Amino acid sequence: MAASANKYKLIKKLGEGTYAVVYKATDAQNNTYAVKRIKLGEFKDGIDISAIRELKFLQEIRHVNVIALYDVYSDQETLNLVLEFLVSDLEHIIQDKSLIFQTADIKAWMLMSLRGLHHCHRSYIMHRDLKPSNLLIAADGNIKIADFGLARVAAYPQEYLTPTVVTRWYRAPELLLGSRHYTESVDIWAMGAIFAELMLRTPYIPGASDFDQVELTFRVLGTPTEEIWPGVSSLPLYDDLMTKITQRHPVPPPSEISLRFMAASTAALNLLNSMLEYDPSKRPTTESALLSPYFVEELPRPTKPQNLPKPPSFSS
Amino acid sequence: MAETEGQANDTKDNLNVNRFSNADVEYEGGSPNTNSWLFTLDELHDRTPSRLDGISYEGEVESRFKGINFIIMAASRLRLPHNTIFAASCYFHRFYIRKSFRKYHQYDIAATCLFIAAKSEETARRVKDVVIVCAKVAQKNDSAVIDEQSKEFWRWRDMILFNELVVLETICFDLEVANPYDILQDFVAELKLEERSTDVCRSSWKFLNDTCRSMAILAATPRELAVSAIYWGGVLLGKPITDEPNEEWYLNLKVPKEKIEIVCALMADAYKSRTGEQKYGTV
Ligand SMILES: Nc1ncnc2c1ncn2[C@@H]1O[C@H](COP(=O)(O)OP(=O)(O)O)[C@@H](O)[C@H]1O
Repeated sequence: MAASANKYKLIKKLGEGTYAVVYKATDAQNNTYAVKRIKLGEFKDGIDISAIRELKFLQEIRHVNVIALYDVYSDQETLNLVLEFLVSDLEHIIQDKSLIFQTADIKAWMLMSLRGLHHCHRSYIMHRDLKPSNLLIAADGNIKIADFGLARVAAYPQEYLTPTVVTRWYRAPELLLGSRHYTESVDIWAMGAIFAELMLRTPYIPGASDFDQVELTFRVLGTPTEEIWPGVSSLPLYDDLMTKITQRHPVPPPSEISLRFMAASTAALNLLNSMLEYDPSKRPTTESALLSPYFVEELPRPTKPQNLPKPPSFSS
Repeated sequence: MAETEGQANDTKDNLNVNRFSNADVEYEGGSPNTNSWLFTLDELHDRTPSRLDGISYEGEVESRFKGINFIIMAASRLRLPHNTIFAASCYFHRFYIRKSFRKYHQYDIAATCLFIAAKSEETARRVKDVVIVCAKVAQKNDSAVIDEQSKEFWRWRDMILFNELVVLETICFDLEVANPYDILQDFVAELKLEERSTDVCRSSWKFLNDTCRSMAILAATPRELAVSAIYWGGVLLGKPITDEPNEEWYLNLKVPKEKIEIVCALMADAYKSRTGEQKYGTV
């Protein structure tokens, strides 16, 4: 850590995030990196808390399926995170309609993502913003979980958490209903929504607004009741939302769900349904998901990372 | 990960930098971060930047004690929890493993460490609130008028915002601090200590709180601190729990006795410097 500022040469701007600009960079050995450059002095409360979180968590977590932080340096005006350079992300892959996904490919992406997430959860870290664009892809095909700007340590049961996390389409129902005591299972829900999206090639529950997200979730998965989700009616926004949403939807039977995912096997559907359980305590942990028949019994085996579909621009 | 040379312009302060090359963890699947911020008694006694800068050991221990006291007093006024205090204390002690008290005043660094720890522990406070509390604690006067009209306010604010990056850089951007309180809690449950003696429990907890003020957190892992706390919690009360029939509890914890002795020696040094510091704002 604490490298000198001139060890890395910034080559070109790759993109702009919420609190930083990302550049492609090289060092003297011609290794390529992505440098996330955080402007200081722009925030009246000092260094942005997202940057603090990324610093803290990326130093702690080392895993093949989590983006690597190689170095950190600063100069007078900026704080710079030197990250692994990644060529693409799952959102681009999903949207590139020239690519054909085999079931084994989807299994490989899910497997790598859940492995990375398992490592986070095992270290008591919730990501809280999983979505296809935060699942980056390395030149060798490996998935890398990125963007820990919203991550936090798993809370004590009595601790208050903000429910305004996770990009809307991947937001778990307890968050939509304003829960302040959620757990790592919000990440499992997000992975479930991503799993569905990989199979459908389009977002599964793409709400147009926060309110619409609730309505759409209920339309797609049924209106939750005390019976299927004990405690739902005491969540902060429940009463309010239920007076606004007059139509009640039944929970779709398995046969209907399997019609939505024509190519999916029973093992895949079972895993998907469990990840999208309304009751957070019924969702699998990363471990039980990784040990589900979908991964450990059912064929085909997941595709090897280097054989996964890649966009034509992909250089390795 | 870590660059083995520290900040080039401050080489004199960097006696221990070779230690930080431990932070250079091979990048591989799932290996934990093993950044090492642990030092031997000799290193802590004789080779810190402050010692090399001509400050006596006792002087350094006292400055550290004062700095941590500042953190604890400001934290209680900002209603920050003990894990934030612990993280701030770790950052503070680590900072002075690489910089001298002659160059950086303990209150400035204490305030900055607390400001950073509040963010990294998800208990963020506005810089304005931190500034007002710190200025009051530094003046030892809770009724001092500190606001955006006062010079003191701006001095503290600019200092904290400037030093935020200085501290981060000095502690190698390493914000991860394992929390010994959770470990202590687990031991207490495992040993059914609560049922055996609430007094021992309470004094263990107090001992652990006090480790912050000493260099013990630069000499022992959180686990070793927690075990020392249980051990000494009993000893201090004259009820050593090793006297209990099942003495193997201690063996099961697998912490060498010498480690506990080191922790206690450093704690004793810190307690000695306590004189004169207790008058204002006991917490
Ligand atoms: N490791 C990386 N390798 C290559 N490009 C990256 C990397 N990280 C981020 N980028 C690019 O920079 C943009 C902004 O990144 P980021 O700050 O993480 O975005 P946000 O804050 O919107 O999540 C991304 O959209 C992506 O194009």
